[in-house]
This record gives sequence, structure tokens and C-alpha cells, in this order.
Amino acid sequence: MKKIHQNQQKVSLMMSHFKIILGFLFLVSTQMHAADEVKQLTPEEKFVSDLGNKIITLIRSTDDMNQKKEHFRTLLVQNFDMKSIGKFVLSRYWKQATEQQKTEFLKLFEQNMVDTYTSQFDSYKDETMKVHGSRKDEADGAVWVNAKVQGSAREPVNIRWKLYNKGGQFKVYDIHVNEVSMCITHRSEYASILGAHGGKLDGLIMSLRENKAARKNN
Amino acid sequence: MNNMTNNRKSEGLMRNFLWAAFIFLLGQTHLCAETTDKDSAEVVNQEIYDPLESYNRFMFDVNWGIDKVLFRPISEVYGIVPSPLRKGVRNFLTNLKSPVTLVNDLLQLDGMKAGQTVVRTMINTTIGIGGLFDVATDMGLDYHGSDFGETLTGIGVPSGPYLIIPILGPTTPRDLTGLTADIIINPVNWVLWNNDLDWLWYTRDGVEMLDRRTEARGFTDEIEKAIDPYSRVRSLYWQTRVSTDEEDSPKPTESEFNDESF
Repeated sequence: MKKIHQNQQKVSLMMSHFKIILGFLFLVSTQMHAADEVKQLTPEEKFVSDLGNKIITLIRSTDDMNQKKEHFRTLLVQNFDMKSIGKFVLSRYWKQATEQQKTEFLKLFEQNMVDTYTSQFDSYKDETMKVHGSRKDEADGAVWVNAKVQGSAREPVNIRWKLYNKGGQFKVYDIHVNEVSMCITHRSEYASILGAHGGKLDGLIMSLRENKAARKNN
Repeated sequence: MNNMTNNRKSEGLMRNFLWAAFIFLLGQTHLCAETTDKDSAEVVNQEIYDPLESYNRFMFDVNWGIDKVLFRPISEVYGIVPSPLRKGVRNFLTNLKSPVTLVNDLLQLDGMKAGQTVVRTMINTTIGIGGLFDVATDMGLDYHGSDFGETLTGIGVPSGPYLIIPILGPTTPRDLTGLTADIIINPVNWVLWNNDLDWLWYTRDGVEMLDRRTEARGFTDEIEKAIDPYSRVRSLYWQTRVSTDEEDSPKPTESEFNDESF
């Protein structure tokens, strides 16, 4: 009997400690949120925040899919360094390519990016993107901007944007979605396709063209 | 008594399996070393180690087929359940797994993360009504997962080759070992096993798989439209579970800042 009483006392003591911890945590977290809002965004962070909002506005707009695709293409070409990305994605095959192949590839690659990302627009509903901090890579001048996409329907997604200041203008060179790099994913897939075509760039160009047509028919 | 023999049997089985995985893994380490010696210009995908590609592609297609006739239709049905309800189920299952996360946080010597796991579990189990509501995240204490595969990675165990296994899909010997270890170190599993509640075990794992599949619907639809779904999935898996070289991404060359021509 005495033991039970002791145990009860212990439990109630634990609970009161627990309540104090909870109260403290709650305080800390609200303070953290408040600090978030007051902090000024760096130019890089503002660029990413604006771009994210433009994309979210586009996703929510009532335009039909073709209009959305064209609008997304404009955002992509304006804000991403598509040539550098295309070059990275082709890695060693870029050097072997003719000027005509490069132009053709870049055009189809852009189309593939547009198709890939706009096809997921429908799965977004009330998402918002919040920028929280950035880090400059002093060695090569890249700035990594951290952002988080949150919505009621899904788990939060972390997005890291890699930017360079190119001639006074920010350009996106890569995005990491939950630690998965957009550029590495494309490079890896294309390398596999190139391998299947005996390393011939025309084989990849053909596959990209077929994929573009197949997506149009869907 | 029966329980005890069962336990011993399963422990023996697990041990055999772990040894087999470990030996397999050891066998692979020298292969890893060999591939890095190869002419790197010849290997575009040098960061991905996939010597069993033809078998893997076959198993990938088999899994995709099973998914199409079985798991996808079931997930469509589960998708009818309102998403707040599904989120509650997901929160509950995530909370139930926190002992595994905690053990791995500790094994990874990450006191900060271990503390977060403890506080999150305390908050969500009480205020969050047994874990149904993720109150901790709303307070700014974000969720993180830790598994034994990551613990092995942390102490330098090599991943071994990319492997597609039936039903479960992409993995490596390292992650497969980790998955097994996580099952063994989960105290919830001991309780279920010792009380002959296997059906609860299967129900929990079944619902978890179903929930994951349902959440991944948009993702798999897009994968299906990719030119080479196999290599797309492989790259995603490798980047999240194996590759550590995350700074490998495009950058402008010096000349590019001035020269805009091709």
C-alpha cells in the first residue's frame, strides 16, 4: 500500500516536471517563430522566396495545363541557368556533341523539365514555401538557400536552392528536394539511356523526343 | 514455453540471416574497391554501384507489375479515407516507432537528436493523444527518422551493391541489414511477439505500407512517365541512402561569366 502511494507520488512529481518542460518548450518555439519573422531576408533568400511564390501562384491559378506549362517554361528559362545544367547533365557527352546536337538537346531537356515538374502540379493544394536561412560556399561563390514547403496534405518537404550571381543576376543551378538533387537525378537517368544507345547522343535525343510525344498524348 | 521456443527459433533465424547479409556485404567490399580503379571516364554513373543491373531490372518490372494489379488498386481505395484521418494513422505509427529512432540516435552519438526524439514522443503521446496528433511539429520540434542502416553508414560500413528485392523494392545489403536490426531492436515488436499478437504486427506493417503507397501515388505516376523509370528510381534511392557527395552539382566556369556562346 505504502509502495503504491510512493509510486503515485513519483508519477505526479514526474508529471509536474513534464509540464514545466512542456511549458518551456512551448515558450522557446513561439520565441523562435517570432525571431523568424523579424529577420530580414538576404538578396539571395528574397530571390528564392519570390520565385517560390511565383511558382505557387502558377500552380493555384485557374489556367489550363498548356498555359501553365508555358508560364512555367518562362520562369524556368528566366531563373535557371539551363545551359550549365544541361552541360552538367550530359557530363562527358557534352564535349563530344556537335553544336547542332547541343542546341537540340537543350531544347528537349527544357521540355522534359517542364513536363516533369508541371505533371505534379495537380498533387499540390494549400502548400506554402518558407525560406529559412542560407549559406555561402566561400570556395566557389555558390549560395545555398534553405526553404521548406508545407501543406496540410503532405509531410513537409525541404528544398535547397543552389544559386550563383551571374553578371549581377541570380541564377538557379540546382535544387535539392529532401536531399535529392534535380541535376544528379537527370544526369543519372540520361547516362543510363546513353548507355543503352551505345553512348550515342542521338539516341538520347530520340528518346527525349519520344517521351515528349508520349506525354502529349496523355 | 511455446513462446520461448518460438523466440529462440526466430532469434536463430535472424542471426543466420544477419550473418548471411554480413558475409555477402564483406564479399562486396573488394568489388567496390575494384570499380573505383576502373577508368573513371568509362563509368558515367561511377557513383552508383549496380553490378546486378540485369537481375535488378527484371525484379523492378516484376514489382511494378505486382504493384499495378495489387497495391495500387488497394491504395486507391485507402485514398478515399479523408486525409486528416490518414494523417492521424501515420502520426500514430510514426510515434510507435520512436524507440527505434531513439536507439539509433544514441548509437549515432547524436545527443541533440536523441533529446528531440524523447521530447517529441513525450509530447505526442500525451497531448497528441497516443500519437494521433503531431503536436510537437506544430511547436517547432520537427520529426527526424534514424535507422540502423544510417548507423551502419556512420561507422563506415560500405553499402554494397544496389539491389531490388521482391515486393520491398530498392535496397542494399547495408540497408537490408539495417532493416532487420531495426525489427529486432524495436521493443514494441518484443511485446507483440511475447503475447502472441502476431496479427497486430502484420496489421501495423500492412497499414504502414499501404499508407506509404497511398502517399506516393503522384510520385509513382510521374516515375511511370519517365524515359527510364528504373534508373530514375535507382538515382533517387542512391542519393537518399548512399551517396554523400551532395555538393556535386553544376557550376559556372570562369569563362562562362564572360562568354555566352556555346
